[in-house]
Amino acid sequence: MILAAHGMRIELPGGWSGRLFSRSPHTATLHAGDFQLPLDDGEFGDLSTSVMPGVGSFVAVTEYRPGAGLKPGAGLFAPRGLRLPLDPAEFAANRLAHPHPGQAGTQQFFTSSGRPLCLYVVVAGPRTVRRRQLLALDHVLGSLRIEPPA
Amino acid sequence: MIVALVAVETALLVVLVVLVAGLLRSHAELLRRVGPAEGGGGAEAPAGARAAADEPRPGGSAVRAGARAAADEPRPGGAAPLAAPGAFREPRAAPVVGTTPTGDAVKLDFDGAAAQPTLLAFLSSGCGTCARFWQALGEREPPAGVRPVIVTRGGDRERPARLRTLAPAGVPVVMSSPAWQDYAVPGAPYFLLIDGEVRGEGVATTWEGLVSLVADAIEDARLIERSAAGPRRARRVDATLAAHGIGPGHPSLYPGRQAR
Repeated sequence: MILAAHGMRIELPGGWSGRLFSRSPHTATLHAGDFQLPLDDGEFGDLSTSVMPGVGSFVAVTEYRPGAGLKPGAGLFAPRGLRLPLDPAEFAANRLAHPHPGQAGTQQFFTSSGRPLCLYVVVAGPRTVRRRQLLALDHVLGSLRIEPPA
Repeated sequence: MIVALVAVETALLVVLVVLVAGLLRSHAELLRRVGPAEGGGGAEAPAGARAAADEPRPGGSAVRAGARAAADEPRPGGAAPLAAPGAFREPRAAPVVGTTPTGDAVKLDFDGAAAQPTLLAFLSSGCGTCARFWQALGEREPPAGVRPVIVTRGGDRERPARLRTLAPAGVPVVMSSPAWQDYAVPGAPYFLLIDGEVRGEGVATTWEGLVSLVADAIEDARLIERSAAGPRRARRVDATLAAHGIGPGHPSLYPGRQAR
């Protein structure tokens, strides 16, 4: 099922919920997860990750506003596009924006279609299910399309 | 002479065969129109047909076909009971996909794990009865710890600007005409309680009625779970006893008899 708004588009498989929202003009955020997401959450999923089930996956892609030293395609945002497949070694509990027991996270800063973005992924559950989770996440993130800024 | 008799008999036989074939065909057509026998495991009516059967009744109450017998009594407080769980049950609740009045895109999939049940409130901006729910859902605590989500028709029937003025703080509003079709919503206001599957649904015209509907649906779901747990536990105990060589009639099960 395709979700599209604010110049972002993603295909979510069955069992995944998601939303594409914008709190301020010219920035957008995507939330997606294989559980029922709260619909009034902050950019990095404070609420969503707090209600995540014991085994689950959560994705946030949030856009930054250029200016004040932030330049698309430069510095922290130099990488062009998402780096997929996700590297299991990059997931760690100390990379969580909002730490919760049993969860591990990773972040990527990048620029796509001239828009500076941050990918934030959280997985919950034992390492034995991590491979399956990352395959699903790679599949979902592989369908993400970013349009140039309006 | 004999040849003539045989010819007449043959002609009569042909006429009879034609008549019988016609009767059988007519009978088959009648059976087809009447439909399958009740309880015969026939296919479920399509959503459109169900919607037609569920037109709101005078008095503002409506319940799902299949649960009518148990749920036809109107209640004090202006509510018709939610359909009894199990009487009519969707295999899984359909996802709600749409946009918000502010232009965000949303997909709510009820197959994933959930911290709490979701109450889908199908409201419209124009109906008088809905007005009190637009207000109450923002001002009052959601009934029984459920997560309320307001679902309106899409942009073809609702104006986002109007919905933005009605949307209560803290309660998501999703504009989705397909959701109204998927759940065969007969009219607004209409409520569905979803916990992986549809646990109950119906009409409420007051806040108290809605709270009562939700509480009843949750209690019904618990009852069903409890009634399923009893036989499961009995089978488990039987299996454990059998594994230790204790079956029906085993003396250890009747300590009183041994004493005598």
